[in-house]
Amino acid sequence: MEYDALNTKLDLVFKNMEDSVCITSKIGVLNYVNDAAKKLFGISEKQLGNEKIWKTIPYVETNDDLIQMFIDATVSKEKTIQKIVSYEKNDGTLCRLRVNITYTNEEDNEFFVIVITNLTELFRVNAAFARYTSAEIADFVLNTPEGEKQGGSSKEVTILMSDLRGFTAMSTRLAPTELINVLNHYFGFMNEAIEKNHGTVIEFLGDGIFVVFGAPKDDPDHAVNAVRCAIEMENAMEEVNKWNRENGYPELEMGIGINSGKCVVGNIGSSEKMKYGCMGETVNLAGRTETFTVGGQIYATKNTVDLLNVPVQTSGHQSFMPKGAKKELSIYCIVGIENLSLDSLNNAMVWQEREGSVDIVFKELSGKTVGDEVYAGIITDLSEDEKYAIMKTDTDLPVLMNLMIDIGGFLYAKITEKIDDGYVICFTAKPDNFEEWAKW
Amino acid sequence: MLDISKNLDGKRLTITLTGRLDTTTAPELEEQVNSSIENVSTLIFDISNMEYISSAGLRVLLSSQKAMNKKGDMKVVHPTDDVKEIFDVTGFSDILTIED
Repeated sequence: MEYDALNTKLDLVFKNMEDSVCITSKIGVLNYVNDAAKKLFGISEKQLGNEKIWKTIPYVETNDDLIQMFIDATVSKEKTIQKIVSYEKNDGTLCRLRVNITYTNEEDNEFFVIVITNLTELFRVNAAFARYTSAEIADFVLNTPEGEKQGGSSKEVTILMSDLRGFTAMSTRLAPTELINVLNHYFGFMNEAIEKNHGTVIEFLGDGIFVVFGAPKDDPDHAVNAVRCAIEMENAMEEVNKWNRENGYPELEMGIGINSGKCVVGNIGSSEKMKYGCMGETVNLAGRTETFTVGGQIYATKNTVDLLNVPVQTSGHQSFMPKGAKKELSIYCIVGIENLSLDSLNNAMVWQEREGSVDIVFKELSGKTVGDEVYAGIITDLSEDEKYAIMKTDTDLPVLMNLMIDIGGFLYAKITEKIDDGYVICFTAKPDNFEEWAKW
Repeated sequence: MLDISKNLDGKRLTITLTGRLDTTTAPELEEQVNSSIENVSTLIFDISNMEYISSAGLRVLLSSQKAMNKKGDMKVVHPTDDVKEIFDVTGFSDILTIED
């Protein structure tokens, strides 16, 4: 009686287990399967004693690891083998399983006991989580002790901020779905460069990207990796724009700012809703540095450049006074690091052959504020691609100054270089009458 | 490491395998089989000196079997006891024609 009662209890245990349990002979004949296993493998009671488990495990590449476990269990003579494997059912459904196979060979009794935990749903949720944050943040949250706790820590990191030029103008001309297509295509290329260089995307800020290097996982090469990443992102713009052209969309340019220093990194928010974030003056300065770039340029602060323990190539440097700071911060225009350089370096500035010049008047643009002072100057040369010009003026002007030039409509430009007899300026936004004006 | 040697006698091809047929060596065998069986109606795998076969190797035998089912026949001859055990445990004893 006691034996019957125990047997009934055991039946109930196996029946109600979420894990699948199978017992097969050495050649795979199904001797016992619990309800969970019947559901997982699609096995019915009448198949017991007659059919082999191999009827439910197709011999496809996805199932290699699972089939190999049976081989290993017999050949290696290890009593128990446990692995997480993929399983493709006969109908093509994919699962992720934690499989535990015990091979028993005692007193001429040879059989396999197979216990399986179905992890398919868990992997699906994890993958979705990683997609909505990033693989690194998902790993930090799920797999580290501090991952799910509120609060953060101070860390030495490098911040990269990118911004797309021309996107705002594009957004007024394209339908929302087309705009998302262009943006997603662009983000795909940028994300590839970021992941390759061990960066973590903190946020996609409209058409800009906020990336941290050195968190959540420590990275002693965070500065080098950020600079490499920036160059690879810029070089990828050629592919991005090739697709844009082929699909009838305007071309885009991107400016990147990089700064290094201490940041607070960690889970910001309430216990019910938080996100992995990164804050501090280091972040603000990276954003500010980015505003000094024109499309195609990368500026890194002295804080970052001082950390680069490999050869770096720059094409100039400027400085600015950060808010509340007591001394100016130098920023360097990065064109290469080690054996990696900007592809655009190969495109030397080509100037149109022109005679004569055109008079201009302009004001300084500071943020969104137009200055009161009116300056006079002349434009003497235009680049072949009409992106750059040479301007001469009697006033001494700082490099990186933004100009609003009145040519009938407003032409916006940034001073990128001081040369012997003037300034090189880069046009950042053109009015509709630009083409007409450029024929001077 | 896997040594593959082929002997074609009319429409009968014997492929002798020496060593281990596993994930690293299986692709090479698959390529060699695919490029050799066009005018073959009988394919024989002599595996007397094959020490081990993995699941990747089993799939190559399976794809060869499927190919030969359409144009002739295939058999696997002289498996070692260890390899025979692997065929039994994985259900391949039911799929392949095995001769001692």
